[in-house]
Amino acid sequence: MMPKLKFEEPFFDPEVLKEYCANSPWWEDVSNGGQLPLADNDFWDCITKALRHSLEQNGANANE
Amino acid sequence: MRQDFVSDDNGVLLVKIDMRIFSLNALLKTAYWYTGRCYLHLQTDGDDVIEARFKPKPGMNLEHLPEQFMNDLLIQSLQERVSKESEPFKNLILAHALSKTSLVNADAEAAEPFEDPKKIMISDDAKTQI
Repeated sequence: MMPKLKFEEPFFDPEVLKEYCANSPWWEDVSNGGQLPLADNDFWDCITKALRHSLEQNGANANE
Repeated sequence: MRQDFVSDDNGVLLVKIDMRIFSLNALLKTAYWYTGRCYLHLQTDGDDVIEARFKPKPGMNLEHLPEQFMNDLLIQSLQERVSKESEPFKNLILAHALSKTSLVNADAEAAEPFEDPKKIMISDDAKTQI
């Protein structure tokens, strides 16, 4: 069974997620409730970049 | 053989993190370090559990990465705890450094260079003769 991934705060900022993923070919399908392309490295690359950017906004890159 | 706390979730390694043990802040910071080394996804699973999924980037080996993640999360949590415990001392040192008032030797630090209130310009031998 495929994992059901959620994209929720504080891990993902919705606007940041859209910024990184909206230009990907799978975005429209996923936005309309389609299956997540879990085997596609582009999908993982986009969501990891969105996660990293969202974490930066939360100050997770601060040196303490 | 993998440790129990790491499971294979359709080719993606999954770790469930008990947030009664670790702080969210420590998790966010640790996750940030790892976003450069592997594909990573975080999501909640109930109130006290966060699921972290790891997928290797092309050409990267994920072996022991989730285990290393948990160790780094522990280190980050402990650093936060030590930082919190030592906060009063850090604040005192900072306040002292920025303050014009001495906490130790106020008259000596405020004196003009040649006033010599502690008589340091007089040798010990001369002091005993006074």
